This record gives sequence, structure tokens and C-alpha cells, in this order.
Amino acid sequence: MENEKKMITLKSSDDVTFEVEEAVVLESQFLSHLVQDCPAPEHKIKEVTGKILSKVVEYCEKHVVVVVDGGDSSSSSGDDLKKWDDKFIKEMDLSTVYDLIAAANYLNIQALLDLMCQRVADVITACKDHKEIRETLGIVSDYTAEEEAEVLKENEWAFD
Amino acid sequence: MERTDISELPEDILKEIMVRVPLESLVDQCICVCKKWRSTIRGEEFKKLYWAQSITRPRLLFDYIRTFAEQSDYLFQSVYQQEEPLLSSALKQMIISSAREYKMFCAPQRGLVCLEYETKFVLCNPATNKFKALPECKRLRPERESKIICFFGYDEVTKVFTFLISETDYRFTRKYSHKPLMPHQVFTVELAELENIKEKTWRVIKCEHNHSQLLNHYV
Repeated sequence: MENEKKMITLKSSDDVTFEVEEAVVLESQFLSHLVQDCPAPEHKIKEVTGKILSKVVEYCEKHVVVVVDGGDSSSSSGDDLKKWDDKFIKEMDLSTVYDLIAAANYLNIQALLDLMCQRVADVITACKDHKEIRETLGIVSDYTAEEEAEVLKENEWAFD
Repeated sequence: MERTDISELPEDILKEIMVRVPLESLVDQCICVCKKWRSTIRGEEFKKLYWAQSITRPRLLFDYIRTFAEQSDYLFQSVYQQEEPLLSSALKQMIISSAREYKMFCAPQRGLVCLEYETKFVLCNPATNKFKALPECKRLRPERESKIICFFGYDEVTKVFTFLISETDYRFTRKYSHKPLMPHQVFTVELAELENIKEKTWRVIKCEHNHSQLLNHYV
């Protein structure tokens, strides 16, 4: 190809480097501003570890490819992408999900943030009661026994 | 920087997660998880956020009366229009037993349905499957002489639900429909006070002129 794709190197907080096409970086609002404002070949992202950055890069690469191909391959690419997203999140434990949420928030990648928040919401919805939510998400309750009984009794219903 | 705990995520993110959780789970389970979740879910900002995303998904509300072995139940079924199949979601069904005489006399306000039977009112939230009865209103005139007309509305600005009862002269009503007699009785409750609705009371109001109501969507 005549037009060589512009490559950018991202470096994680623990100095793992990823070489990606510029289009991939543009999935992140934060990085696209960074790349525009400061045209260095390498960018260090202090807030994100190598483990998480690899997931971010994997997600963005997949989504860039599909968007670029999307012009001629009709709606099946959308379904494929959804299947890929499902598989992507299913393989992940919750602590990775939290880290990815924090990373997507920091890097401003809305679609990834939405996907991850939905994942946690689905986990919460699948729990049968508040105790299971605590166990699953590793939350320690700060209610006293009396307070908890009180909250359980409350007839909450006000706003939908 | 590794995180392993959901509590280390910023509150805005927690809201982004919670806004995707169905209302039943929010009010029955999530509120009981810990204090932070409770204050987040009950916060005004979150309610606005939830409401905003909720109204982007139109719902249909069916109400019907089921009679079986001399018992009549009032049923609601609330379904999202996009969801398939349309009527399979039993979760969204609400049943109020032995409520044959009650009727839905006004359009739902802010997702709440008001049922009325004479001077008794019940507020229902089909989304959470919960309902509350208002304190009963006392008639100002004998039952055989007057007929009840009632109204239910919600003011978005002051966040107040208003219920109004007018009694009409029964003899009069036959000739001129719905000519209310004064005074009227009114019951107001703020969104935040719905918990303690039993503590509120009906008030008697007098108007300068003897109005009759035209619309029953707003008071």
C-alpha cells in the first residue's frame, strides 16, 4: 500500500508498550486530543496498567476494523461485533471489569464504558437479593442490623 | 493502578451502572446493599438520570379486572414496547386483590397510577409492584345526595401530587353534567413524602367561583 498507516506507541504505567494504528487511538477522545496536541511517536499513559491497556487496545482494534469495514459488509458486522463484545466481557473477572471501567472513563471511550457498566448492571440484576449482591461484588455492608431491618422495611417506590 | 473493588469507582460511574439496573432490583435489593448505594439511588440527581433514560423507552400499560369465584382482582401489566414477546414479562404484572370497584380515573402521572373508589384512593407503581393507600376522605354530604368526581395531577416544578375531590349534587347532575358543589377537598403530597402518605390529611378548599373541571389530567 502506498499510504502507509501512521503508527503510534502507547506505553502503560508499568512500561508495557503497544504499537497501534492511529485510527485505533482515535476511538479514545482523550488519546485523540493527546495525539493531536502533542505529535510524539510514543505516549505514556500513567493511569493504566499493561494488563488493562492490552484489553483496551484489543477492544478498540476490533471496533475500528468493523467500523471501517462496515461500509460494504451490511448489518451482519453489527451482529458479529455484538457477539465479539459478549465474548470479550464473559471472559473477564469483575476486578478486570472495574479496572476497564476506570480506564475507559479516564481515556474517554464511551462505547467501552457503556459495555462494561452494562456488564456490572447485569451481574447485579442477576442476583436474587442484596446479600448475594454483596457477596458477588465483594461489598462490605456498613449498615447495623437495626438499620438494615429498617431499610428492608421501607416501602421504596417513588420515582419511575 | 489496579482496582479490585467496586467501591473505589467514582460515584458518577456507580450511577452509570445503576441506571442500567431494572427498577425492581434497585428498590428491592440495591438500596439494602450499603449506605453509599442507598444515598446514590435516592439522590435527586440519580432519580433525574433514571427518569430521563426511562422515558426514552415507551411503555404500554394495560389495566383490567379479573373475576374468579366471586373475587375480583385489579391487574396492571406494564410492558416495554421494544421487548419481545410483548406480554410475556410476568415481572411487570401487578395484582391488587379484591379491588373490583376501583377504577383508574385519570392518566398515570410520573409512572404512578391512581385508583379510586368513592372516597378511597390507592396510588400504585406498576414498575415496582407496590401500592399505597391515601387516608380516606370524608364526604361532606350524604351519599344519596351527591356523587364524587375526582382528579389527580402532578406538578413537575414543585414535585407535588395533587388529588381533588368534588361532590356534585346528584339531582343536579342529571340535568347539567358535573356541576360540582363547594367546598372541594384537596390532598397534596410531595414526591419525597410518599413514604409517609398516611400522615397527610385532606384539606377543604373554597373557590370564589363555582368552577367545574374540564380536564382531569392537571389540577
